[in-house]
Amino acid sequence: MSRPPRTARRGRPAVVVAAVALLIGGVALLGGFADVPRERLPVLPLGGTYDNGLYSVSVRSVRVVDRDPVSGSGATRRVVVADVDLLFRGDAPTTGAALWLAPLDAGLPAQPALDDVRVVDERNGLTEPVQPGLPLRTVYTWTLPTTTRVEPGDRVRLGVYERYEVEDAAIDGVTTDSVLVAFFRSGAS
Amino acid sequence: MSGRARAALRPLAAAAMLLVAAAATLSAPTDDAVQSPVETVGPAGRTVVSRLAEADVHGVQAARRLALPAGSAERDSTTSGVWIVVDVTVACRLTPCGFGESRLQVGGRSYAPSPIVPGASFATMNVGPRLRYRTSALFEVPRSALAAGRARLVVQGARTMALEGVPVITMRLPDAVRTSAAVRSTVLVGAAS
Repeated sequence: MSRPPRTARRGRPAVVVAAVALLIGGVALLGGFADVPRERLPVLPLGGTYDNGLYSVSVRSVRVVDRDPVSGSGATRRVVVADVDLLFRGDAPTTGAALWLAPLDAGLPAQPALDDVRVVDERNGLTEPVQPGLPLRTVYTWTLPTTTRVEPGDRVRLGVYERYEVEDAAIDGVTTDSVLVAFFRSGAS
Repeated sequence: MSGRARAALRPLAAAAMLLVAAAATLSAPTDDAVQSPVETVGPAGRTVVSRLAEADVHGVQAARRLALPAGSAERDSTTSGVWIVVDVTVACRLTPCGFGESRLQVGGRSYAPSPIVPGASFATMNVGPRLRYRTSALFEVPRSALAAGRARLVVQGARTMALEGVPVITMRLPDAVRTSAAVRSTVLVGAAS
């Protein structure tokens, strides 16, 4: 077998480099090596409704105040207050409505401590479970940490959360976590 | 039996065993059934007794608003649905108990008792054993729930464990919805059986 001419051997690295460059360019054009492109979350205006089939939430207003409007206590901690219409379509009452919403811009974790969240019936201030199939007008309150930077009058967005399975442990069963699926814009759209 | 006949029977035997296994799987109790309390079911108008509690439903009303007992704090009871007001006598039999985990089951859904009455009420009371109390159990349900026609009141305290018994009272739901229904104060009516 005869050896290829010297000029052809010299051209090989250039062909390889060009092929790699083409490959990288093509992948970049198709979206790069990121695992999954980031989804754009639905942004809802105040008065809009987020409905996932199991529950629907409609936020009528959100505000930051320095006094808890339900208990009347306060002035030491900021409180986010939201007027929210709920409808739960399960087959049994739920106490999980506190996990459906949380302020996004107020220094709270995605899953605030349950002591810091209250969902009360707007008619009578009771914190009974949400009954299935029965529309309910509620007032949500979130007590903010003392480190929060929001002030009364500031705008905060409200995130809508759903719970998804994150781990299937043989002994403890399924572990779930809250996932942000949409948010309500504060103020007019 | 010849070898050929035996070979022909093998698939049939395998199919029969599969059928038996499928029947056993389908007829096995669900996790919910295994872990739920055992129900003692009886109709309204009769005292239904389980090991820990007893209950007797005297009547059922449906109303758009509640007339809370005199002296109660004012609480708004207007509803987009309907109130089911169950006139019931309940008692704990062996230990102190409450009835806050009771449920009204209607048309495949269950509803929790409302604590709208201030002070001791069916949803919030915690009473000593062997004492019978008459009270109103209040349930706020969607109006469409009335179409089911019948309901079951599962009388259950927070401490009821799996395999423990609970009284379940079956009742007919009223056809008519009143404007308002009177809510009883919780009163002691005597000793339990």
